[in-house]
Amino acid sequence: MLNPKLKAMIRRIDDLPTLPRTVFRITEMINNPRSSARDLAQVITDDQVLTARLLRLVNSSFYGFPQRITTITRAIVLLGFDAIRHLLLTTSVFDIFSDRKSELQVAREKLWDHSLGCAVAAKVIGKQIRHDKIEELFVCALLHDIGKIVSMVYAQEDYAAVTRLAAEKNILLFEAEAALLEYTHADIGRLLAERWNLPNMVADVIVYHHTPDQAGPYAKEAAVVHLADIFCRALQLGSGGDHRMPALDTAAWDLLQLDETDIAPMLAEVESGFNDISPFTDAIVTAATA
Amino acid sequence: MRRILLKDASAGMSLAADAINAQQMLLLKKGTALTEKSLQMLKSWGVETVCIAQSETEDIETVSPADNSAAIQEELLSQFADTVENPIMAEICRVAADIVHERTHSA
Ligand SMILES: [Fe+2]
Ligand SMILES: [Fe+2]
Repeated sequence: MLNPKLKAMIRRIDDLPTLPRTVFRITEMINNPRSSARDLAQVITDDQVLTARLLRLVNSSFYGFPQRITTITRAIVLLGFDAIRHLLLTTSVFDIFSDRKSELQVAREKLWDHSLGCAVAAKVIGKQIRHDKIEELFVCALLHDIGKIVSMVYAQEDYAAVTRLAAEKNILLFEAEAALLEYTHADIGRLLAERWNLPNMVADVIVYHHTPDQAGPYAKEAAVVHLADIFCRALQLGSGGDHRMPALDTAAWDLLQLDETDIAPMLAEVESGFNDISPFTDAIVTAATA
Repeated sequence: MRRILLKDASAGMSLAADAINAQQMLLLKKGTALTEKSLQMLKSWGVETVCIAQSETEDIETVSPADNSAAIQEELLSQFADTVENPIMAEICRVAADIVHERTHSA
């Protein structure tokens, strides 16, 4: 049975900006080896807002192309399929984080950095374990705490009470949620994932990022994001609203088959990767507000 | 300076020597003023004794307040406190502390 508070939350979720369908159409298209740059350009140009923003982005100083790019086709040729998809996803997720209705702007910015740091870390870990879907891992991690955003926007008082309790008792945010609200941001994330028709892998990682051993077919991906969450907290990249380190799930660690000696080089790569991506997100912010 | 049991130390006292745990991990630099939070943190990291300054006139280099890397370091260590029995977490903490230290010093 659904908790009544959670039920009320579902009704409000419809007001949240959604991940545009375009993003998923593009994902399918890129997975199809027969699709061309022209096909992809067609899908993007169907969405005028996205088109305008994408052009602003590729013309930003982050990319530094010498001459102005005026068409999506040209942008795809210059940047490649993967980069374009990555860009679209990141900007779409950013939209959700930058909902202006919420007053908790600082908390939201910190959560964005936490999510981005986690996404960078998930990629680094994915590379280390030779995972074959590294871009998907990036997206899973970027969205793992999306339930917190919903709380911030639609249940501000609850969210404030939860962060207060987490600070007072020095417990994890999801423990405070469970104690106070009887649902957690992972539960909200599950609802969102259903509403948005997110791929199963993304949905399951969101739901099980605190309990990766329960993630079933996506246990490995949940384990990656679980460890990525610890990495970006350790490096103090942003904040997820609490000041506590989750205990490492040892089964998840074993599943990844990493060695203790991998930690130092991976963390160093997360640090430099996060620095590299910051100008990229600055470009996203500028393109979104221009 | 005087070495005392951690349980006898109180907030406001200054460290006359670095606080180090049994694993030789530097937890707090000498000159740091102890707070309730840092006492708690030292305890959870298994520190049993600390060296404290005996008088306010005792000549110890104090940590400059501009050096916020000490604060960040302290925050990091207190976050990790009860997870480090796991050797993997201890390693993550050790490496992350180095990186964060480096970052705040090069900035
Ligand atoms: Fe979480
Ligand atoms: Fe998180």
